[in-house]
Amino acid sequence: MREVPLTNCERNFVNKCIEEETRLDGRRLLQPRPVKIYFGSKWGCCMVSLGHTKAIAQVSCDIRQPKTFRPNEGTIYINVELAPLAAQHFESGRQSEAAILISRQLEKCFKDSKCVDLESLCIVADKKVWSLRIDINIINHDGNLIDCASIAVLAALMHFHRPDVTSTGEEIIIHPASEKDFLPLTLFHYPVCVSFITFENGNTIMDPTYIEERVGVAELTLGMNSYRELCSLHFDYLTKTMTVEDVISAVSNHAANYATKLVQDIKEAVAKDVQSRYKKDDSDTSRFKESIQTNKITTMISDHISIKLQKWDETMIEDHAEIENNNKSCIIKHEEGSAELISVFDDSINKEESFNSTYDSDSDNQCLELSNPEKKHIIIDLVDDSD
Amino acid sequence: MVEEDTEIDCVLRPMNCEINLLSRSDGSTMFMQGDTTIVAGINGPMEVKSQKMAYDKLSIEVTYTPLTGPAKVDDRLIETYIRESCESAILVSLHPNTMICINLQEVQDSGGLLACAINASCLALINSGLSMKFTIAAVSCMIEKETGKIIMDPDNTQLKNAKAEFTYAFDSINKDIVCCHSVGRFSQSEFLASVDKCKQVSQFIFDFYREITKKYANTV
Amino acid sequence: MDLQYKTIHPVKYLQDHLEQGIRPDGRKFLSFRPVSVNVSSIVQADSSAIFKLGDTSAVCGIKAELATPKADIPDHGYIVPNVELSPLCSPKFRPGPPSEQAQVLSKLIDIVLSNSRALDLKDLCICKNKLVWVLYCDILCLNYNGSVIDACIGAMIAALKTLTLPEINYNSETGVIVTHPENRKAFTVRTLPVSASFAIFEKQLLLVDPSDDEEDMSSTRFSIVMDDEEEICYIHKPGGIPISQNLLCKGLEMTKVRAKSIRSVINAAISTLNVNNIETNSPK
Repeated sequence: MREVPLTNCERNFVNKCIEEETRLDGRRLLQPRPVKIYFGSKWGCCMVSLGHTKAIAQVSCDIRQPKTFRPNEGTIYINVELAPLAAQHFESGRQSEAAILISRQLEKCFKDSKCVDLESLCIVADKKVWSLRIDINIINHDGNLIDCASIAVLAALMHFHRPDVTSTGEEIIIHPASEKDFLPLTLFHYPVCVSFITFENGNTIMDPTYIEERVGVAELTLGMNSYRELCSLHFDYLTKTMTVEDVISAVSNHAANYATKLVQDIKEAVAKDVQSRYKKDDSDTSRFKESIQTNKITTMISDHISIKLQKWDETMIEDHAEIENNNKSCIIKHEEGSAELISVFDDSINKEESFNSTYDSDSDNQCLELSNPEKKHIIIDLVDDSD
Repeated sequence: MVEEDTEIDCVLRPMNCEINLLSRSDGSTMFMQGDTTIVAGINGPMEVKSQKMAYDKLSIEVTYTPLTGPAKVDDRLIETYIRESCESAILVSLHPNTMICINLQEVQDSGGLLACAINASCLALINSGLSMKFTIAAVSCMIEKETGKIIMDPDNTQLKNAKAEFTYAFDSINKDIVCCHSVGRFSQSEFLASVDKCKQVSQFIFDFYREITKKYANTV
Repeated sequence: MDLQYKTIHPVKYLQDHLEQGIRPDGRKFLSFRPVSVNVSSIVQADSSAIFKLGDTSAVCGIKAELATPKADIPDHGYIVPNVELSPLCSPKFRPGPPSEQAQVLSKLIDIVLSNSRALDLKDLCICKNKLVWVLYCDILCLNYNGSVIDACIGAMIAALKTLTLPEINYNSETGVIVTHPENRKAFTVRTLPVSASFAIFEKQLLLVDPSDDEEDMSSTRFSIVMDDEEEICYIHKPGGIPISQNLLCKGLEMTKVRAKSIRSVINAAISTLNVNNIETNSPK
């Protein structure tokens, strides 16, 4: 399904609102939406919601051969999936341009800024390294996918623990969690993306929603870490316009402040969840289950359901053996590794000879007969289906 | 046989759900059975591509996205199960020449993923307001390797000593079998026993559907 | 007249037949189509088989290759079943990447193989952590006329049963692989899973071994796979109208009988092959 075109009413309304420095959801121009992070039961799995935009990230790892020009470094692969669940105009199967754009921006922000210590992922140089794979699935698209995805990636990377390995020269042993504790990744710095949209009238807003993204004329995404350093930058005009003035210098200070605060929040959330796992204390966590609030009318929480079932009584099975099936069948063996099972009617059993000769005329077998003129049929078995 | 022997206790994992959580779908749910979590969203009825158009019925497109990795062959199987099960439940002749999309996202798998996915799609269908002939409830169970005991709604740790695992879906009217999937080898009597147990358990899932629908339908 | 009627009123055509207690191809509701099996049909493959179920036919070729195992399961080989539904077998299919149906069939066969434990993947290990066999089972459907899964499983099992692997000498220190192609060893298949398909029509009418038209017009379908010991390896019912447990039981009983006869056909086909081999080899 194609994306529903934006109506003029919507466009004018949003532009008018921005001109008056108000937004549809009541935020100020440079105010972000609330961020919520929930973790899964596995390491490196988290769900992030930024307002209505929701993304799930999962980090997984396996052992691969390293790239020849970097023999002592692990690898990172970032994959963003825009399924039709996020918005109906995304197609499943092949990667859309939008998904590639987001993947690339995340790669710039996380991979190219070298925030993960890849050398610590090396097991045997030139032979075996850990290969990290980060999958981001967007489940609801309400604008600003890149910020939501970057928060999810950062939280998942900080949360992820990989199995410990011992290398004994030739072989490597992967220890399960019961033998050796899993190890966290080493991160050098903590980048997140902060996005802005500029409108026709020159006003710039932070953390745009879906409709604001469509109305805006220029987008800016800054990858900032907690040390106020710039890791990636993406600026693009969305329509033909000359109205955009120097946005970057105007908002970069605000972005850096927000990024510092955001990273602090993510760190706290991750630390809290990791702590509760080590202590095996599930009282105050933020897992997927906690994303369902108890008091909403659209939610339902139940406890373990204990039920009593009636015992299965074998005598209740009715006897279904009486299938009226008088199909008798016989197996005919040919040479050259062929055999057939055909059903025969009662009268034809008595005259096997005639039956076989009629069968020989069957076109299916002419090739065989030609190559093997004195072929014999051997009826080895009479299977009676009626018992 | 003594009267007490005719009953056995079993425990289902807690079921939690939130409906209407996605703003871009016409009906959506996040359904959890224990830790196994699925997010499902329904879009439609809407316009359909010409090659998929059916002149006499609603066509159903299911997209299942796994949590990690690219789409695999396994996902096609889950999609087939969900499409064919939902097709039997929805009144497909009511919306000819249109289609609906059932989109599923795996969030967490700790056993009984297929059952959870079927239940989530059914709940999302209820939420989307499409007319259905009946609702469907899927139940998973397993047979333990050593004891031969049937465990209802097992999780990952229990599944490690499973001899066989079953997933059944039942309709809400006659409690007949809509879909059936099995893993492992088992005998005929084990099969029949597991069907019977799951059939009884399915009632609790239908009750859950009813409760949640009652809860929000009263205020809508 | 018959053909025109079928083209214009396909549904009524079938219903009229069913009302008379007979199916369009002249079978009774509960009778299966004849089966013919040919093993070792393709010389180039390591083993192969053609399985015909009435008109439906499938050919399976198995190619064994060497590979390094995965790090987490170092002593397991791989078996990769792949079903191809080309435009050759039915106008339903288009050329290009495998259709969804072909993918589902491949997955189903994979499930049947792992459920039945017909082969132990450890048998495919040559040297732990270094070298294992990969069996590529390519199944090509030649004619698509219903119950394709039965034909595919039949072809694959017959091919697996006749599979021989050449002896491999692997020197773990130097990494040199020496193959002895003339020294072939038979591969153990522990059990022969056999599948039977069923179609259900309105009012819970059960047809066995449905043809393509019957499958298309049926309300639901299911397949049951059973192994040597009459244990069930797989019950596959993807959806469709709900059916009662009794109907499934009936299907189970039918499968039991059917599985026995199909197994004996496959064994018969293999036995003729062995006799043949001895005959041709003995004069030399």
